[in-house]
Amino acid sequence: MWNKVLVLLFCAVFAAAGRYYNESLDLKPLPRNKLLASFQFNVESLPFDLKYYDTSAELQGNHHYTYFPRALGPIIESTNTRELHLRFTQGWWDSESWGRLPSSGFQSGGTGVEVSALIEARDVQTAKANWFKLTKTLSGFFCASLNFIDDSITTFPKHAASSQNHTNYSSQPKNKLFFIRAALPSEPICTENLTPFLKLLPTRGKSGVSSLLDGHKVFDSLWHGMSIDVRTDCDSKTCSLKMLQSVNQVVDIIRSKRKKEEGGLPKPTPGNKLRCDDTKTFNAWQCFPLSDPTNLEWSLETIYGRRIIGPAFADDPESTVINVDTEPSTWKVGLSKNRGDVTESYHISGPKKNHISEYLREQVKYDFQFETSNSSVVNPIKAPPLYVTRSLTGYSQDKGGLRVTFTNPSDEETVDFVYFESLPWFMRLYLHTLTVEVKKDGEIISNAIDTSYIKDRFYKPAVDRKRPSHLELSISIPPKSSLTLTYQFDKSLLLYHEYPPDANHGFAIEPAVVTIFDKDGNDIYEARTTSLLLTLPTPDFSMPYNVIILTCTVMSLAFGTIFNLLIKKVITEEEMEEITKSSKINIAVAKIKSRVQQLKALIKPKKE
Amino acid sequence: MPQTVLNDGSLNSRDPVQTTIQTVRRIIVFIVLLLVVGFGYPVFFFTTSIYRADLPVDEINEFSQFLKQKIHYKIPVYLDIPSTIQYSTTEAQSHLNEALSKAYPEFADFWTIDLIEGAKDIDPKEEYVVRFEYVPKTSENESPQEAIEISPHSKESKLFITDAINKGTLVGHFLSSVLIDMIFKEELADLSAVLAGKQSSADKNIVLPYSANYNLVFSLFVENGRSIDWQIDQSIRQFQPILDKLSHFANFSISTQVQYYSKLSKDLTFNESRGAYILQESDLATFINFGDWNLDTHDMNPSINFIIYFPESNYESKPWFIENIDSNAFLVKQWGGVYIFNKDRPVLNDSKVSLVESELNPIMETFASQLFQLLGLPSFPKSPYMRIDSLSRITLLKNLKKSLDNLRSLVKLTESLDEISIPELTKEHVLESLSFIKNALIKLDVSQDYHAAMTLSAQALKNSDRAFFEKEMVQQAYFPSEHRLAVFLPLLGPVGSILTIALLKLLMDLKSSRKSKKKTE
Repeated sequence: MWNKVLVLLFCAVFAAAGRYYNESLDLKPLPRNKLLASFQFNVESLPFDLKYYDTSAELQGNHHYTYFPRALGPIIESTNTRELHLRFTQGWWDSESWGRLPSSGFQSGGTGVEVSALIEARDVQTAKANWFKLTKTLSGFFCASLNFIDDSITTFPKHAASSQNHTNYSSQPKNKLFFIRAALPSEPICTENLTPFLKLLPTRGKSGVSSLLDGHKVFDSLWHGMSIDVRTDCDSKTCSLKMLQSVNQVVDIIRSKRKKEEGGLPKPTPGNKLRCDDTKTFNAWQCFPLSDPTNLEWSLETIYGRRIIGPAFADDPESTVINVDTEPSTWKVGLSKNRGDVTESYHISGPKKNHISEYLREQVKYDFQFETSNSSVVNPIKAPPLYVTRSLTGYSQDKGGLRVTFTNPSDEETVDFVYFESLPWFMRLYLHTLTVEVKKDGEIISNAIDTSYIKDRFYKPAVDRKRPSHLELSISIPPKSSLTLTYQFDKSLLLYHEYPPDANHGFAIEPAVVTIFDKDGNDIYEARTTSLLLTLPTPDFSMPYNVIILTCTVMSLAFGTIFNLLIKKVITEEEMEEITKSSKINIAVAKIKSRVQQLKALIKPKKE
Repeated sequence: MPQTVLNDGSLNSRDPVQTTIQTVRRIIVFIVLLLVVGFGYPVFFFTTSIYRADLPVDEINEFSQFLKQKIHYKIPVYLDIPSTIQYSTTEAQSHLNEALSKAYPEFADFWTIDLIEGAKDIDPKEEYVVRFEYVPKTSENESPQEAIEISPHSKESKLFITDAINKGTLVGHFLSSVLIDMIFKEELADLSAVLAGKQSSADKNIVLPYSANYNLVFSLFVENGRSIDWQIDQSIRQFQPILDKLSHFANFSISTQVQYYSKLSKDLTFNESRGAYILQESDLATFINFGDWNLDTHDMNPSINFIIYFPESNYESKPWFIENIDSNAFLVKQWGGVYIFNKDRPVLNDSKVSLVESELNPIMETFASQLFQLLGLPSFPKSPYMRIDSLSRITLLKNLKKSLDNLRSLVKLTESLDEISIPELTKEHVLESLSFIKNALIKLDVSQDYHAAMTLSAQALKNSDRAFFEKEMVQQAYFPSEHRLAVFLPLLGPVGSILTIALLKLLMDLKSSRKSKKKTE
């Protein structure tokens, strides 16, 4: 989902410059010594003739790629993908202290991997075939488990996607556009996903701001998200693919500093470096530690361990720009240029007081230095338009519930949004158990499913192993109120082979998506809940073998007993003795006994 | 109670009640045994068996054994003979056959040339045409030499006949030697190598495995980050006619890319005396930086890569040369070709470099010849029409042989591993592959259309590959039978031991009762 403002911005950037590549790095200090770093890379392909490919057809004609990656182009064209959105996110965004998500949340996915695409096709089957082809190829490309995307987790969002097609691409007359989405919440994000991401860039991480990106540093953050968005833009004659890649991360500066100074292993602070609270008892044995220091000095090298190597392309002076958002009263920003053995540094400031914008033009190594007397004073944090929390309720093995609370922090404005949730088929949802509770200032003002709060509902129930349940609610919340939804579900047993190797760990449930619309129906903000960990009734996996073995034993016991009863005769003890008397063994035993008796008789007289 | 002893048959053998009871017991043991062997064992075997589809083993063996006998290449050669030349087609044909069977005795009925008189309405681009021309004596002293001219633009050749051979059967001799030793020489050599299971002369590991579709990727790798404008679109249009000629052989899809910041894995040293950077021949193997340069194509079809490398030193007018190679281009086996570009004129530091069509065209010619090498085209004769024709015939044989080899290996594998399952899908692929092989042979026999036959043979190869690498089959390759036995041991063990003991006892009983019978008699 794309913010129109953002789209307009891209269009403006591309149109004004007429170039095919540019990149930017936005740095924004957050309270409590955190830093939001946001890398943006824009690539545009050469204009080409857009064709519709039938599933069997090979790519035809010549395809030229300059800045746009050739690795991705053919995949997108051959599957008739008109828009592609890929999100790799990990961590928890603390919206109470960090405010709104970067780019109004349109670049941030939920925990794990999320992929959605707008596919042009004749019918649903063709669209699905192309979708699976797309995800399988992307899986190989990004080393992610996207190949596990199948019918059971694929959804076709309805309302949440109404504003999806921002490029206003119109399909060929016989075709339709299908918006398809899937998420893998348990997918870990790591270096092997970043490497192919960097390979898509025309600089391949060798120059420009992407030279800062290093797996060890990017993923050593409180929250990070990578995103790739490809859109098809057409004018009357030709089309071109526009790609926006981004890496957003929240870095803990104290941690980065400590790692730089002391190395990766945390060590206890030596006594002379302890920061103690002077107002409390404080001597050689007692120390009430203060919170983190607020007068800090750090640079990009502290965080990333390297410097920016020149602009992305030396002959394009506006290809690389760095934006810094700081409060000028407490922050000083310095720029240092390293030309081999000479380093030149100076303070920089922007025309607007709290915003600095600096183009990198020279082929030197850049570093940005930050010096602050009070790091807790930062540019004002804007609160998000809505807070959402979602949690599992219930404790039994066979059923559970979901509880979602939306809070509108605004004093005046009503918030309209669409809540999108896709749950796996093994959560059997009972929508009749849906309850709504609206609270204002701690008092319940309504608990009926009222059309003034829930304006529209869309629900597609799950089909076992074929389709997830798909719920979309269009909700409106008055100012200073909160709305709580609860609904119940049954946990179902899976087939033996459907359990993953670590079944007792639980099953990750994908985050729900909240898309907020303004009064004109444009999407203005997007946020996701956290993912959930659902424990299903898990069998003992040695059970089938135990059952086979036990059944076999019982069967053979029964067989043995009956068989012996049939073929053997029951006799009395006397009869038994009678028989044994005349048996060969008994005769032999009797002989030995008599011999022993004879020997004893021989020994006894000697003793006497 | 009668005095009965179970073990001792002699005591009660005369008691009629005891005898019937004993018979009943024996019958029970017998019935249970019968049930276990006749019903239990088949049920156990059937429920725990692995599915093995029936493969057409005999058919595969027959095909792979008699492949040569099933292929009949019959190449028509149209002759245009002026009446001044003394010549008889039947004689020439028999000569030709003789010469062929002498040179390649194994080719009998497999590869023949069909001489046909009259070449008026024949398009020399489609069919082989030989034109004879009589060269009369110009003067007494100087007699002209016989000569051959093979057209580089069609499948036509010209023979110049002089008086010296224009008598008897000499013209026929001349024709057969031209056909066997020149026009079809490389093809014959390659075919015989393939039949013998050796590498053909053109091969030497250079040739890519055959596929019906190839991706051609032209890449410009720039050492630094200064943008370059290359007019590849026009140059590729120059390339298109070559691909059109190859369209019978395979389809090609073209893409191009520019990649910046592409450094070599090793720095070059500047050679002062030659004023250039010298790339040693030993460095060519590691020239391509596979890890760093974006060369992957996410596609099923194989890619042929052609790289133009643009060194940074072009800005300083310092060229790059490859030691001992003048063309500045080299071939990477089974992969593609590389050309190192040196700009002729010095580049001004601020201007944008562009590679124009006139600079790219010679490079494209180099790439075209590299492409022919990579596809395995015979190097002689010059005419691409003849070469592509020969290539189709060689590839057809190669594909058929390879797919039958695949199927044979599959049969061998299934025969040697009793525990491997053969899914229905494998069987389907095998059958499909066989039907493609049959169709290819029919196509060849009926219409001598080797291009169509080759396409079919490629399908056969694809299906045989699929059959061999069927996922389900490979997955269960090592499912041991001991597991099955171990799980069912609690059932099989006790039941088996009880039955065995009962059987032993029964046999002993029978023995002793027979003995006692004899005694009483």
